[in-house]
Amino acid sequence: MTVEKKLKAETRDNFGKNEMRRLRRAGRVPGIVYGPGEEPLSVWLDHKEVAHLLHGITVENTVIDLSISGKVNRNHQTLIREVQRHPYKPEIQHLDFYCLAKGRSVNVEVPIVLHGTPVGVRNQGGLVQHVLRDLEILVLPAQIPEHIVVDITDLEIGDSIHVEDLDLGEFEVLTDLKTAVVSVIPPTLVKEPTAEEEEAAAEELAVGEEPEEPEIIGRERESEE
Amino acid sequence: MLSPKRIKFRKQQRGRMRGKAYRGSSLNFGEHGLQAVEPGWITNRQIEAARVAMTRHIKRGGKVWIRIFPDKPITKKPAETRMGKGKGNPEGWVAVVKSGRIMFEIGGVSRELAAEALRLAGHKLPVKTKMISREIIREESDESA
Repeated sequence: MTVEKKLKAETRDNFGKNEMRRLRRAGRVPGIVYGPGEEPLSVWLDHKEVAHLLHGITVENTVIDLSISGKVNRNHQTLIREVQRHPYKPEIQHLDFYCLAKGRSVNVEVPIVLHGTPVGVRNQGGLVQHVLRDLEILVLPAQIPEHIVVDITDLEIGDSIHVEDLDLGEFEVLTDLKTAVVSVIPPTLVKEPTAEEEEAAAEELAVGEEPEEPEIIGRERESEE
Repeated sequence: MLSPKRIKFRKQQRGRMRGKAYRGSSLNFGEHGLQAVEPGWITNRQIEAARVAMTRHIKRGGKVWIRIFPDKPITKKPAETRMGKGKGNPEGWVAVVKSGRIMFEIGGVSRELAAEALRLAGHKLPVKTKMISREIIREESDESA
């Protein structure tokens, strides 16, 4: 099972983008707590604390012990359902917490960890292509795995492992079984260009040829009419 | 060089590049990527130059993904032409990039090699860029706090 982490939150009464911008400027992160049989509860958290926590965990499958104070005082076992980040600044903008209920299965995304160096990479210079990085499974909160290890040592160039090939024991898999998890692809060889070729390429880039006119959809029909 | 095969209209209006790229702003294929931190037009020549710089640097092994496509035609009036007489002729293709957009991704190489390849590629582009890695996403959040 995954390691449990602790986080403090406080209830909030302010809503809307202006208030949330003020909140973020004050070094806080707005969030919401919801779950089966729970009224949605708006909260805020400390940005520093959240950033520190998210740095060391896999977000999707870590159980967070959320202690809420303010208007209501209670503790919840939660999963972070969504982290909204700024597209290019290192800022966390919003968090969604999903309350876990005892004995009720949840769908969780568990990271897939590759183990070993494939034969195709070691001997033939192939390239590992990690296609599926998370696997969605339905599991009881107490049994959420930290990660799923996939042994790739026997893979040769052109081989791949699909979800149906994984040995997952008792977990119910929600991801499509035909999806490829990892494959070993042939290496891409870049031919060293000769000096003449390089010059020609540079010239082409600098001067440029006449742009090739693409086909215009519907023009043929118009001309026929 | 990249350009569309079929289009509906030969010429387009220029448009604006307001806002941030919410789509295409996370790594989807490789381990490292080159992200635009300001908006701009990237021509198909610049994309090609960046791709060549990257693939030459990583030599063998590794894979490069191009996450932008130049689908916008740009027009230009001939030199020494009086104003008016309609819009100029199509002269090239650009990709409209907003800040936050991941333009290139690299996988299957070491972090150092990817960093240098992306640095070289960034120098071929007309926008400010930064490298982004799967591990870095978390590290940076920590630093800002």
